[in-house]
Amino acid sequence: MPPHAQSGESGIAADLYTRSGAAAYGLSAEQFALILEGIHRKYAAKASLEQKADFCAALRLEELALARACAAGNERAWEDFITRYRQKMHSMALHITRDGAHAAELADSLFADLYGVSSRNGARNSKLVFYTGRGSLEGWLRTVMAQEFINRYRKTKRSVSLEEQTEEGVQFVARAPEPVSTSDQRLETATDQALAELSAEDRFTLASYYLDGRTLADIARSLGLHESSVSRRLDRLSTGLRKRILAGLREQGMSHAQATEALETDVRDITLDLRSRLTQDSGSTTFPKSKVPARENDGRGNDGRNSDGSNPND
Amino acid sequence: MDGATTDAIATAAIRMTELPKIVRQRLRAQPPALGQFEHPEADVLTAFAELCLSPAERDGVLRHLALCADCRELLALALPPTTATATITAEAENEPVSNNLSSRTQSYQSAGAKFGWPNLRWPSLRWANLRWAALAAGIAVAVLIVRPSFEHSSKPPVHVAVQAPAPSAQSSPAAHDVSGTSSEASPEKTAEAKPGALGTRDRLASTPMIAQASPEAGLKAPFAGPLKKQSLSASKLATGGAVSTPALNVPKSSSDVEASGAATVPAAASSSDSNLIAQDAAPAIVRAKPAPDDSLNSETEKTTALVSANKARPASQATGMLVARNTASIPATLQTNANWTIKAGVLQRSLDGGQTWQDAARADHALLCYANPNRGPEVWAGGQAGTLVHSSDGGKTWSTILVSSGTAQLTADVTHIDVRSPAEVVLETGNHESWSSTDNGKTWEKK
Repeated sequence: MPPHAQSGESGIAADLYTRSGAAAYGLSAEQFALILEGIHRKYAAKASLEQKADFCAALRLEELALARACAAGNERAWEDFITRYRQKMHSMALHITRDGAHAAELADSLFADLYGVSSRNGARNSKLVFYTGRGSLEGWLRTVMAQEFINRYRKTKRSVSLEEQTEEGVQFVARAPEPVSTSDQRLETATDQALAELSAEDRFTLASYYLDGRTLADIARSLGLHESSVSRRLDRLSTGLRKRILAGLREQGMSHAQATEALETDVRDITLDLRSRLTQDSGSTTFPKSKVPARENDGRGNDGRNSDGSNPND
Repeated sequence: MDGATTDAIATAAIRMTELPKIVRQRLRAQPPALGQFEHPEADVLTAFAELCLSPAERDGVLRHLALCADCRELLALALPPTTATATITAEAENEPVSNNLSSRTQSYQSAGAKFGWPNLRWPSLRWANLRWAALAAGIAVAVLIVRPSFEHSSKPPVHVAVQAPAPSAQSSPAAHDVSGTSSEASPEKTAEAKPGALGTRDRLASTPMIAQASPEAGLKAPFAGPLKKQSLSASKLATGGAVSTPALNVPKSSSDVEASGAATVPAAASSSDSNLIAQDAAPAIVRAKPAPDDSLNSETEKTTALVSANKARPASQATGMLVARNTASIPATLQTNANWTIKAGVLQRSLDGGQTWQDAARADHALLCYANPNRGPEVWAGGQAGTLVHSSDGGKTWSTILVSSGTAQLTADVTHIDVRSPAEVVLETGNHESWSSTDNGKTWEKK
């Protein structure tokens, strides 16, 4: 590396070190430079010096220094961390689990992981070393906590006893029939082509709304948009997809009427619907009032919630 | 909920679900391409949720999310709660667990419906928002009507320093904290300079003044010497929130800038002014130091010298920020047509169409976004940890703005600044908060 580049790099590193306040937590400039180098190598290894400076300047340097100092066991850093985030972690856990007891358990568990109660080769093994300052530390904690919650839920789900299942009658519920390929191959091809033309963001929007049942508000917050923008986008996507699929079907030799019929009217869907309804061992009404439209809508209003106002994810 | 609203929602629901069933089927069928993407790490997902990723990285994450239901679920769980949900969650901490938990996470939309508000389709058209819009419009009209007369009365600016009111004995504790060493100003002028509340408030808006943050904060505006980078966090600690923090206006012209230096402390020493600000819980706007300006007249320098003699404090104690380099010599015509960019967390300006760039503003935290409406003299820049700076003279002088409303203070990253009119500014933050000001940044409201 040429000398002027080295001096420029060291100047940037010194500036970043000063801004981070890492000195207050006992991190030396060399240690902090190594941390930044590691992060940079991970995410932008091929970047130029200028790009590297931009990348590092956009990091949450203060929070990065705090997290890494905590991971290194600095007591002052831990005091600051506890002051700033202990209460927030409990609030996050409550938001994720929606249950006070589970929230306390989840928050304490994550706190132990962050503290690094387990050790590897005699060294503390703290989760905070994985924080790279790309987003806020609070947001990272929330994501890690959500991941932990999902993992726990899956673990718990696997360990449900057979007796409980028997008592609840789960074992007597008939299995859902294997999905039968009901649609025309040409229809599938046209649909796949139309979906492939969508941008990643459009596809994410569709999947979040129609598959995951997320609300417009959630999708909007994920994408940094307004709810009304997401609503308009969904309308536009629905219309556009329909047109593209119809065009694709016509390209495959269907007439307009045939294509429309293939897309709109699929009597076998009703058969499938009835079958799945009949095999349900629940007290719900077998035949809802609006039948097919009700299934299409999932009873959800414009904001993605059920008609009774409850969240479909709850 | 009335019948019309129900019909509207039902119509919207039908319209929203016009997606052919085959599309859902094919969307659900995961293409084999999923294997080529690794699951994004927690910090990348966090940065995605906080809109901090570069476009290329963001697109990569989106492509993965479009195919991976697990990561979409994680993202949804990791999203920060909305304000309404957060409030409900906070309340829930003291409630029995047996309550209906699902109801706690309802968004403000369903909360509005629950309390009987007409659930208009477009959220910004709800009554709660319309109420604030009406209030904002009323304030704007009032300002337009009242302001011109006070602008006229505030000239010449140097007189403000001479006639600045001294503190009154009846000032509230908060006002006393704010005014700090106000008794050192000109007590003999108290009677003639004590205006009514409205006049004082409007004079605050029309006359350049710098209020004393607190004795510890030691806000001072020395005009001599280059601008120095100062600690924003120190200013936040010293001022201790919106109620006890000072406020001042941002000058509209270079003459105002001069006057602000001259009138700094005497005007700030007015306890009635400070009290008014404290009562209104206005956010603090801390004056950055302008560069040495040869155009200062001798009277101004004299006044500044007096001010410095009374109020001089070490520069390290002063609150505010920033850097503005050699800007005094830049012609005003060029300043209003400058190009702006943010490099490495620093706001840069080019006066030659982008050929060369100079650092224009630097804060303790990295700047992330800026707004320069119509390439005019108004420049706003926002950054990490609630950093917001403003210049009304094309970057010649800068003010650090502490955005707060009541007990809430902006601490999240400012990711977008929208200047909708000369007085209306809207901030978007990384945690999806929205802050707006209808008085050019003097007061803020969290939405």
